[in-house]
Amino acid sequence: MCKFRKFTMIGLAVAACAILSVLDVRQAMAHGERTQEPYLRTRATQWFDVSWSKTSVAVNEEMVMEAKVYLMKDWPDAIAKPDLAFVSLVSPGPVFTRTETYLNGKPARQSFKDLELGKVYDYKMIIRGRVPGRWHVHPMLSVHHVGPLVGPGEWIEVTGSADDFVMPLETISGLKIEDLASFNVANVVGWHVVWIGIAAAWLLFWLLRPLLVPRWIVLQKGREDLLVRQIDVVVGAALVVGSLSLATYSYISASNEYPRVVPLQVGQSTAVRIEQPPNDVFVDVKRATYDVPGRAMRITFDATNNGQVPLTLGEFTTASLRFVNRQSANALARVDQAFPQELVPESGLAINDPSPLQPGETRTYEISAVDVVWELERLTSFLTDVDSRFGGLLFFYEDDGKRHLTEIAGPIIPVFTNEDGVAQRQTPLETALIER
Amino acid sequence: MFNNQQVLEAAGFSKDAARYSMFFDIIVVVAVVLLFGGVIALHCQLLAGDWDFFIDWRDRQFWPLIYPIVAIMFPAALAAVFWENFRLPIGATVGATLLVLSVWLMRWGAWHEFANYPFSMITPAQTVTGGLILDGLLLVFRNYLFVGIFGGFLYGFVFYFVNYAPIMPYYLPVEHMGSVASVADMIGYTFPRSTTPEYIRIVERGTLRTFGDTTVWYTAAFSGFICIFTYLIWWHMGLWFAQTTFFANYTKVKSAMGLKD
Amino acid sequence: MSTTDTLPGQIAAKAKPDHKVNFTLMFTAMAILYAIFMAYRMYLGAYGFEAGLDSTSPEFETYWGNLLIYQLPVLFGAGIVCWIYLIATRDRNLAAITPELEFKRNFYLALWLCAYTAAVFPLGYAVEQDAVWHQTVMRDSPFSPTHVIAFYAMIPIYLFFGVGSFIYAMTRVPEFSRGISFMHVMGVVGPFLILPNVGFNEWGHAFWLTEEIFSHPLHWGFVVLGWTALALAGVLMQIVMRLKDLFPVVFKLETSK
Repeated sequence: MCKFRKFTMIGLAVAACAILSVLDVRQAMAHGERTQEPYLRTRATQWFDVSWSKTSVAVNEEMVMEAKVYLMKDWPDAIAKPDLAFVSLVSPGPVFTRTETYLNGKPARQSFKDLELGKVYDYKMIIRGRVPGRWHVHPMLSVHHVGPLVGPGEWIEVTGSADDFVMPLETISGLKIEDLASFNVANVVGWHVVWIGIAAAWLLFWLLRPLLVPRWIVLQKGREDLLVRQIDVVVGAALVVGSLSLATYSYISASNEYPRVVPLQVGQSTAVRIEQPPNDVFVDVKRATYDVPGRAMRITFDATNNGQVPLTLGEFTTASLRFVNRQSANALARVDQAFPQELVPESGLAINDPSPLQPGETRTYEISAVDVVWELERLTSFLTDVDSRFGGLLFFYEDDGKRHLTEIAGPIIPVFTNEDGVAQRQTPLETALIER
Repeated sequence: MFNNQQVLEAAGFSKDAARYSMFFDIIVVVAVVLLFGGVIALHCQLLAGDWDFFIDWRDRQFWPLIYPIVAIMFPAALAAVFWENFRLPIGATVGATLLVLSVWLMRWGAWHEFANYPFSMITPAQTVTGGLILDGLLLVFRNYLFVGIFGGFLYGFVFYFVNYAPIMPYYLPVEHMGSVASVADMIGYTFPRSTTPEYIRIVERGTLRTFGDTTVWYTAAFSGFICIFTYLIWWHMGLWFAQTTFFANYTKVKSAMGLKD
Repeated sequence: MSTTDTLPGQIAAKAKPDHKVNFTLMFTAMAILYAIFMAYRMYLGAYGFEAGLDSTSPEFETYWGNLLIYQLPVLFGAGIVCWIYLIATRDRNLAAITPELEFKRNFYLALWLCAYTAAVFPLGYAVEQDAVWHQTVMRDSPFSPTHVIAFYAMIPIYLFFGVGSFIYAMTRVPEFSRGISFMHVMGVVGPFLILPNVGFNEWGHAFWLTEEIFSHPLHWGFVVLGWTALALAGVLMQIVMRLKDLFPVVFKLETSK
């Protein structure tokens, strides 16, 4: 009876799950990167200029995902250096297939070694729709002993029927593969059926006899001759000879059928160098704080323009979040309307003096990036890091829109309350700037 | 074909007793299928799973070495239990066959149906041939030491060659973005596994090529060598686990069930 | 261990007790078990990728957080209720048990163990499903959808039968009450320890939130504990050795040498 009691209770649980299951599910916006430590997301890679050529593709239709990824010089000590990396994507299983991948314009089917810190890399991947649905897709760089370093994600709709998917391929020897997904599966199944069939016959040969208790008693009585007869031994010997013969035949016949095969290919490449974006600004961080109740990152730094033309601070980006100086037309022009808007906070970047930094000038900047997105993206656990530092990229623009890229990184201090014991919300500067 | 009546008579079993004995056999067969179908699969997933999960992990240097060594363990233990107690030479075949059957079930349900992986990427390997050889030799030699030395070696040695015929077409070369790849590499590349980057593949890196430009003959022989010891050790594991030791129960606990002594 | 001398055969013969074994309960139990497993698999299919990718999201809380917190007390609670029931309704006079009843109870013990194995098989499947999860998406929580099922549903379910079989044996089968079967303890405690071993596993993954090699040494604790499944062979032998003595008495067989 007790079993039934348990089953009743489990039945209730299953029923509860079934009731839950009719509710609508809001699809997840992230792939788990929010539980990565903030240092991994703010101080390892910075993704920018990320674009998806389409947001809806049919099954078998191709689209292109492009991005730039900068490897921070302030790379965290807790993780391995990017000595070995693989250019990839995040998607919930192979709902897209990869057709071609490039890093700095070179084919990237295999892994790369010795990526350099402080450099920008060009990412490009061509993918094809495979399984219909609405899928969130991110560019990603996997780094050995670090794991997945993920860029911003976008929803892509795949339309059509999964049954229509084909991935044709032609081998060097001229064999035309109709669909890579089902290629040779029948051959595997066929051989497995043959061997399992032999095994089943052998097992039935023994299982159709009295098994446990009688055999045990007979064995104890010393009548082993009844349990294993001469004919059984002959069958056993034939089984060994037959199995070895079939194994040999299968190997030789397969070898003759396909004389030219190659082992798995495992080489690694070195990425080619590409021209790096200019960087005429020298940045020296003075103090950075994260205001917990105010959800604000505030950074004070000295910036020196070592170039020949005035430069305007246009954007602060970290962990795929883009805090844009909304007064800079050049910076706003870089924000594609198709880019996921939840990653571009409305409040933008508050700057104490947004006027252009003149050639040779050194100025103390006070910038604030205030938004609830710090909480949503779980980047506020700066506080639980053993190494409380922040990192990001600053984009300065020339008047003609040419972009300068500067890394910014340094220690960060949590702020819980202001001097009066009241939680800080906005500084007067932020209020003024945001209102303006 | 069988001498069932003689065996039952020798055991002193009446028809009715034989019927109940058969019921018991059926319970045990069901239990063996369910238990070892699950546990051997779990054992292989966690000790050699990656090489069996993916076609683009099946190299010539590690896959034929690691997989048979892992996959001979339970078959050896089961062979010991069934042979030593019941003179049934089926343990190794039971273990190997249950492994391949349950792995097919899992590849279908967990990989293909749930996560859309194509079967060309996830077809399992089989060790049934090795199991049959072990059981056949057990009947011939009736001595686990010889079975271990000859059968254990053959189990490891034949693994690559019997799995070659099914999967060989996956090693045909193709050209992709200006370099050579095997079809297996292409399958791994085409159908992305986000957290299985290419570089974590533990596949061949050897440099010496003597027998037909391949390391596989060494690997098969080495695998056979290790399988000898694995078989012998696990045979004893099986016997150790089949012991019938009872420890004395506490008097107070026994008295709760009305047992005095 | 020979126990022929402990059989109270004469008393039993007069009452003509029944030795018929009823298989219905086991078939029902197994059918319900597999219905539950199918329900879990379908639930995963429906809400795994849909709601399980980001453990910080509200839908994760709804579909996986809630499942976890409700299933744990239900599954463990059901086990505890059953185990207490088995103890409370124990046979209080095992010394006077008839051979027919003892014969039957040995069969029922085998059926309990069979149901136990039926509950263990899905763990193998659930671990493979977990492999799929980890090879496919980023690890972001110890309570990923596949962990919620593999560790926190499959394990309590098989513990129900594992511990249940042990208590059944101790309270109803004389041989297993007089002595504690070493291998029965191994066969129940070993698979049970897979649950606390999750602690080691997750501790290790705190350092290693990276790419997945499923056969990583961090996972070997599960394997070694899984080996203890072999211990059920020892319990089988104990039952066989007892049945060897009971068959002749129950079926009035000639026990010629």
